[in-house]
Amino acid sequence: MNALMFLNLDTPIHRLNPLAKLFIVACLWTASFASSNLVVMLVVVVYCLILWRLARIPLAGMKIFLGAVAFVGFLMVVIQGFLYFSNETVLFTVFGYPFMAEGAIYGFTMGVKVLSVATAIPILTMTTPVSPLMAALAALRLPYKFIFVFGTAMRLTPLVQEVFEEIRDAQRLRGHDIKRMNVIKKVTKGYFPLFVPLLLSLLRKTGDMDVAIESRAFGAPVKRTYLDDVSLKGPDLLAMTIVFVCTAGLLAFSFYMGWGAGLIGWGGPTGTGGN
Amino acid sequence: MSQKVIETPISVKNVTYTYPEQDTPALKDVNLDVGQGEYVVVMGRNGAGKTTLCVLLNGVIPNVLGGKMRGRTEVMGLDTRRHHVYEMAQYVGMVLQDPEAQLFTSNVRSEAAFAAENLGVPREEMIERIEWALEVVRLQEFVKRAPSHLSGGQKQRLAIAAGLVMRPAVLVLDEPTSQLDPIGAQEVFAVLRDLNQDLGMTIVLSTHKSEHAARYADRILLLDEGQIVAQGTPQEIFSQVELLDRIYVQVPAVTRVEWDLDKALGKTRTEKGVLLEDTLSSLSNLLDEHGIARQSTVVSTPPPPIPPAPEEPTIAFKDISFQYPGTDQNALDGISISVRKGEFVGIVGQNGAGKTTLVKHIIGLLKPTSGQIIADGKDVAKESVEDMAQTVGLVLQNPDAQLFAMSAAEEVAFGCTNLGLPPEEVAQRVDRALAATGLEEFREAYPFNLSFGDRRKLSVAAVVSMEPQVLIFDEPTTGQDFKGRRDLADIARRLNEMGRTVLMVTHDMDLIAEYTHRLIVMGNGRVLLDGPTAEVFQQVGTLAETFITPPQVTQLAQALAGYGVSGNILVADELVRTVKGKVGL
Repeated sequence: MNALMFLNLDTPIHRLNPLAKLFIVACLWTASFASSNLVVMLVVVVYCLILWRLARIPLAGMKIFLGAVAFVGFLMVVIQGFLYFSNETVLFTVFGYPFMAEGAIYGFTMGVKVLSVATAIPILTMTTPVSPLMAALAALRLPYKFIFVFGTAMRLTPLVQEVFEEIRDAQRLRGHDIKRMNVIKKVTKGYFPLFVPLLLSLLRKTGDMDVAIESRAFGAPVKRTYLDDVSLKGPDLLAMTIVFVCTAGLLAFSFYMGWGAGLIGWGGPTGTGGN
Repeated sequence: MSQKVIETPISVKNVTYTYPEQDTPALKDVNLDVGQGEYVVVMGRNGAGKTTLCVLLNGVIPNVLGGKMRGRTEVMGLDTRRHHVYEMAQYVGMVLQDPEAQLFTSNVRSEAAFAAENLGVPREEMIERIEWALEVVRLQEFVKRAPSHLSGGQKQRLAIAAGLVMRPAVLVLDEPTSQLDPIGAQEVFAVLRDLNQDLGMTIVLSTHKSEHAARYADRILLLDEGQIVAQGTPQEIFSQVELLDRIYVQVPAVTRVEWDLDKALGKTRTEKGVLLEDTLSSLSNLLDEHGIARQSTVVSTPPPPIPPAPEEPTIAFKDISFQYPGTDQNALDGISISVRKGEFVGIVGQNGAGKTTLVKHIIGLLKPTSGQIIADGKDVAKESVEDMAQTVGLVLQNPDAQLFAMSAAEEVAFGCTNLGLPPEEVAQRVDRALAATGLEEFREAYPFNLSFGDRRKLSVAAVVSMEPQVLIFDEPTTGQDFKGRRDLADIARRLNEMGRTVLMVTHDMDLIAEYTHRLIVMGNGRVLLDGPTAEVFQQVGTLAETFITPPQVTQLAQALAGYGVSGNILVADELVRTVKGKVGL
């Protein structure tokens, strides 16, 4: 499952106005970006997971997404462990290079920040079809060409996946069995024959799409209208208020504890408001 | 719809057009005036220039596709060379041939809305138009579904709806009904007629469906090799049977019957009947003139025999149900059927009935939610698709999704190589498959440089070369002209005569009638009818439930039942022989 792909369900989160969801994500990101306090960021992650639950986003289906975030977190721990400017607590050395506890903890904190930012994304993308999202962006008075490029990019992922699956199915129907190949063959004889037609097919499709989009009056010199009604209703305002209050609470907590000097902040575990 | 009214909304003067990197013009010195409110149908074989003419009318040629163009095209008074496609789109709606290439939003509703939004249609009116258009194409229940989750025919319906929502002054549709079920196709032609009459919309539509062209067109334009070779009313055009045969345009079955009978009777009428009711009236008069008494009981001749059944079926579906993820409806619902070795089985049903879903189960591309499928003695659920491909060959609906090699020969060799055959054997099979599909001369050609019809044949060759015991063709005739359809059906028949089991999913009832022994009719994921083809076509009421009509000849024979004509007749020759026999010829 892709974190950008719309999940066609009917849940309270799906029913929220895209503008409300944009606001919610903006609040969650504000809390994540404004604070490097580990507690704040973990609370944001918990908020996000609660919203995932309400939107019936299956954790099992998000393995690749969460795996990618975990990998980024791991890289941050490794890189910061070796490169962190403070070298108070050396845990071990590799070829003479020290790996520091402060760096590892800082990297971990940054990893959690990435996680808290990333887990907010599916709340918008997996619960909102592209068209209402585009209408919401238009309501924010963003230029339509930008919105369309954004919308097209959002659609590109499922398109690539769809074309990839079509080609893979066609090859399987002709006995092309990647699973039984060894690693080298998988790359040279398995995926390469998939990659070339995928690329050519996508190029062809984008050309066809260009014709289709223009034929459907995209860019016509008239004021564009929108099918989706993006006016905010009671439930939208309620959800926005709840998230706003929670975010404000988190920011107040950060303010009280110190933005980056809470349990673990910019200055490390004993930090004193390092930034 | 635009308020601009122009007496001649389409004016094409001396247009010759050559595609980039091509030497032969796709259109040659074309002159065409279309009057306001006219309903013009363009017909011709694949490659005749129909699509080129269509996209000329909204300025895609030459503005987007480039190439060399001489002459002048004006649509709604605008020179297409001087106005961008998006400007032309305010007056010219376009429904392109390939639905896959023109659906790009996230759900059915937003797809239908896209053009109306671009045209600045007020929201309330837009909603009204969308509801109307989706009802017209029977997609009102699928508003939230992603276009990629629709069947091929449903995608085509959506593309039509997207065009209808525009309500332009001129609507151009390039083979818009090639993937639709028979009644669905007829409905689209009829709706266009309503728009044409009620709103004065000018319609230009290309199609291979002569039966509908005969009923709805004001004027038919015959194209061949980029030139207009004839134009006139449906009766004027379809009466030119020899010309139509020469340029591979299908003659309506009823006209063919009249033409054959006229020849036998020595009549020299210049205009034949083109509608079922016209021919019915002519034949009734003929039979009355010869004193053939109307009978109270209907005669029924036995249907063609089904090959004797061996004990074990080649394919057995045992109470199969299947639900696509994210949907709450069964796409297949308790299917139990068997197919015996050597049968030639047709599968028909409305768009979205579950036909493609059914055949994908036979090779394991889809696994049933419940039930069991046995193919060639194997439990399909326990086998990989790659293993099943050795005994079951599936040619999918869209050829473009099945071609990935850099030459036709490589494309055909791909499957054989995967079977682990020695190179000499692979080479022989490639030669045989290319010869069987008439593609020898294109063996080194890049597959996507071939015409659509040849790409379809190549996708067949690629599967046929693996020599599977069971061959499944999923809508092989989509977008094919009269000759292409028969060529593909002939390939299927030859393979069947060699002992292969053949299943063919199609909306082409004429081919079903002529080629298949047995017919399975599906509706809403269930099998509604299953039996000898001629017998199944007698069940007119049940067929209508799934938007199927019997072939025109069978309808005519059924209507002549009162004269003792068997309702089991499936092809024109047989009906002509019967009538000739009745009148003593």
